Amino acid sequence: MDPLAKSPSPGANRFGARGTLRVQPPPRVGWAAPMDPKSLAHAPSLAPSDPRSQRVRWVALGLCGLLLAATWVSLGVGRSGDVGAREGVRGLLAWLGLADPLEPTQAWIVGLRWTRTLVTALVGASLAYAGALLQGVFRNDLAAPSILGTTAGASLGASIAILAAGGQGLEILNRLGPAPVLVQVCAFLGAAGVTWLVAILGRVGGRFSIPTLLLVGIAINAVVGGILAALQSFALADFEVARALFAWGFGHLDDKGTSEIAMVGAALVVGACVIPFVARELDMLEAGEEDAAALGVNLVRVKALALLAATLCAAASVAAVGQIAFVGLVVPHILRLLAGRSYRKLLPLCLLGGAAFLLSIDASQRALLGDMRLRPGVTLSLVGGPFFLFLLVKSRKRMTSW
Amino acid sequence: MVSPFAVQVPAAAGSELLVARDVAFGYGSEPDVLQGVSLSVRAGEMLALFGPNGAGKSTLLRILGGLLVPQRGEVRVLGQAVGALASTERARAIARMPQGLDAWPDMRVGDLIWSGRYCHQPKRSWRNAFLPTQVTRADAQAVEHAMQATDTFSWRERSVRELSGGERERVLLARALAQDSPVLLADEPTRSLDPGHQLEAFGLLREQAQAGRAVLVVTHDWNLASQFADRLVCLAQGRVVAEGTPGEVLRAKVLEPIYGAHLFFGDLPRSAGGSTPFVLPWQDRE
Repeated sequence: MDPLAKSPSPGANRFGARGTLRVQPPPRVGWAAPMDPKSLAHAPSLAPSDPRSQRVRWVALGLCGLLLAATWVSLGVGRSGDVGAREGVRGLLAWLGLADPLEPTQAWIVGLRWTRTLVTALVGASLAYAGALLQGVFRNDLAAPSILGTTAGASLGASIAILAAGGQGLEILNRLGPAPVLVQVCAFLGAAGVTWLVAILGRVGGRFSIPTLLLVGIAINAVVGGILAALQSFALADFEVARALFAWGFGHLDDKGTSEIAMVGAALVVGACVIPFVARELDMLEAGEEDAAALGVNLVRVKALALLAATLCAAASVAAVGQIAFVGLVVPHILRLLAGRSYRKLLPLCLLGGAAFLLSIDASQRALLGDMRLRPGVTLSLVGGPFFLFLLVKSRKRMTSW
Repeated sequence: MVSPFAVQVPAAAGSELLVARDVAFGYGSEPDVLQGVSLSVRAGEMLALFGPNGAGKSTLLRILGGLLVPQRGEVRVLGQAVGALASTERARAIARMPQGLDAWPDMRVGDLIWSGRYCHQPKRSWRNAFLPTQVTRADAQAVEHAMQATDTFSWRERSVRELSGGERERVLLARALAQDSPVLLADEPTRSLDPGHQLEAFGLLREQAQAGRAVLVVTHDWNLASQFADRLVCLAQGRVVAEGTPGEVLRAKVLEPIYGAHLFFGDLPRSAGGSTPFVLPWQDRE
């Protein structure tokens, strides 16, 4: 018998079958039995804090409201006329076969709007979630997919895939469909490669120091940007491919199809499944890797799971809509201020908050600017860049000790 | 105070819970941090490890805790090789009180102490992934005992960041006690404590040893070690240079060449009989 295994029967020796040690009193309940709530009745606050506190519930409720409002605006506003909420819901029900179909033009408009809304929400959720995971693994609030180069790596992989397919003629690319598996796989490989490279190069003496990580991220982003520019200039000979690459690089949410929804949605579902396996461990990691290991955290497993989920989500969203920067930085930061630092709250909230954030940015710019539209990738760089600068300036005092 | 969680050692008292044999370790730039260190800590024994700065104490403690893999030699805890244990099994066997944390998380004191129970809680699998973590009565008892023993119970709602250095040390000690493991390693537990709390912390570690755990404490304080520890081990330049009872180790012949300082030695009688040696760094000024 494994001497360190938890003994299944009460009263048995806890530390070994060899009879060297015995604990008094022997546990009166089985080791894995749920605690009798009365045993803490004299001191209820002794219990570990529950992540589902009142405050977190209010934040989640607020985010749901924001998401609903943004969905309504996003469905209603567009170039081809306004769509009421009723038509929107009916269109969705009709698509699911639960209501009478709308008239063809109306149905087409509603379908396009729904696709765009869903893609935007899913991309926002995956980017914010990936950002929060990376911040947990690197123990650093300034880590984000766009800063570490994860999204740049994904777009490098995707560009190579587009180029490879496009080099054979654009017909092949079209025949593969709007979001070919090849682009997705290459985007994931690129994202994973760059993230791992940053993780290896940014590690000094067993920990990730903030300046090293940022500098390595800058350098890798520059290298990848250079390679991307080189690829684009090679592709100039073939005008259509060059145009596709160039437009894709901006990050846009127009002209998406169900395949993008399926791709980002699937990646997000798979990625979100790691939350219960890494959230508590990421909280413990905040005090230091060695300390977490001494408390029994399996560092290799937690880091591998979190990095895999983060690269998967970031890569899927890049493959679907191109690079959209700063969602992964801004959303976790705001949610930390609202709901606290624990990753047990932060990771689920980021799914909701990221969707609400990107959708409301997209919807509000469509509602306010009308036809004169900026691409959301550009808007976010305009908003997120200064925000990043603000974070850096705010933590300048601490930075001298980094 | 006899803790409700005392570990009794009936028959096999004195069995070696933690054994290091011929452990050697080096980094690229410093190849000889440890050069063949052997030591063992028995159940019910408190062993104090001391030595000048850079002697390899912290590295040895990491290796003993299974956080570093030695280049030569092996460490066994409860008869099993540390390297072969899964991370939670290792944490159930060895609790470590670190020398401060890399970063102090913005966490309730109560939650930080609860994180010591991580290794006892059921492992996450697909079956319980979306259920709340189960807390057993044993968990609650261990945490409550740890809080009361270290007198941290009243801070449980405060943020760890609000605490002073000494208070933080006590919280870390409480977390290690909550881990409730047969082997307890403490890395300079009295570093930023005032003399009163120094005595209290060593008394607490002593109590853990008397309850049947194997306690190893790294310290620079010869006198606390002399008062509380059963055995002293002196590490210098990666080797064990002296080992034995306080009376055997705390001698001018042993300490003065290592520390290169003039020391004053004396003996204090104990009320129970016998005496405890003490050491005072001493320089006679004009």
